[in-house]
Amino acid sequence: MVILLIGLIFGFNFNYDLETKEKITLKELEGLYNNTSSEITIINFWASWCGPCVKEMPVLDKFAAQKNVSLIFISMDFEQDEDKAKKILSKKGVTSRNYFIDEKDPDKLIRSVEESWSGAIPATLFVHKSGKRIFHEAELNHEQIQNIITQLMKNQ
Amino acid sequence: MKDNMKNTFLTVTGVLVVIVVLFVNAMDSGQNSGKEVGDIAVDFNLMNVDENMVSLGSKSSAKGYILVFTCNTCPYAKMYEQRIIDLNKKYSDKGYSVIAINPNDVNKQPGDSFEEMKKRYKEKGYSFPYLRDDTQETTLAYGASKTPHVYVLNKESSDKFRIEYIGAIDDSPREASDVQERYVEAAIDALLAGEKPKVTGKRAIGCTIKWKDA
Repeated sequence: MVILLIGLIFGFNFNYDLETKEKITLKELEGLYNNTSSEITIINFWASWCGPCVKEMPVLDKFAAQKNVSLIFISMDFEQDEDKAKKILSKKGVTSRNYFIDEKDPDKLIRSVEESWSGAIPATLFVHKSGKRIFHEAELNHEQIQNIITQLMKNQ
Repeated sequence: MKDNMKNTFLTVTGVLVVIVVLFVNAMDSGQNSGKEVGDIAVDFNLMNVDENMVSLGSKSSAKGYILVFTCNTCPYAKMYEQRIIDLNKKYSDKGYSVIAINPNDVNKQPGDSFEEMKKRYKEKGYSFPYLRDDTQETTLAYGASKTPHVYVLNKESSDKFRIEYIGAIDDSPREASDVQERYVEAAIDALLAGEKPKVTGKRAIGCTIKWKDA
């Protein structure tokens, strides 16, 4: 019985991974794009107060339907605004995963994601599974996203 | 002789290729280009909301400036608006006053037009210049990429200002009451004490600058 309980606890802990979490630490975020099984991983940094971010979300979300692409939204919202962010995700019909960033020091977060990132959002990181990265700090349209994906695939 | 010429040709070609590659890389880094801490600040001559032109030399008693790229429309800039006003109140008498520059393209962000800037200036009682960078040349020269984006300048001689800090105002955008670290204040306090700032750059989240279409 004890062994069964221990087994259950460990089993539960084992399954308690990013699938069930709403927040993501910097380390977990780095793990997402460093050990990716998808050919292309797109990480978009946004916030509910950022107009251009909200505008580009559905455009980005369409790319998640491509089988070689995995898309993750990272909300930079303050804790007080998380419900507002959730409402936007649902209103915009976003199908991709969203996490709220769990890192209090923006300087640390920004430099760790990309050395050239000034901190302005929207910002999007495209990672090929080979490790090649393209970072874009501004709003993106459909054509630009497609071009970046094509460029990452082509150079392999 | 022929071989020599060929070698020279190859060397010249090689050097040219390197130059082109370096140049293309420099172009490619786009928003990274611009000024860094330790660089001499670029002067400008931009129109204030009172329709007078303002440059770094406009205030002869200045010991330096708190140059802030900011705007009417960015929610993040709005969170910092009162703190920018307070920075000017605290430091203008000590020689470091605020100069705010609005870099956003009016076609993309009509809320940042000169008329809207005038309204904002009046409503909020700005006690410092609020300039429009219509050509975006000054913004590009500094390498500012977001609002708000602060450059602390220190005067070294009548026409020479050095950049001593670039980045965030403090560490708590949402709640002014939760601030632990006041980066800009710490930088100016150090300069007032005749020292170099200990922290010369901290990044923060902000809104992208609305650039004109090329």
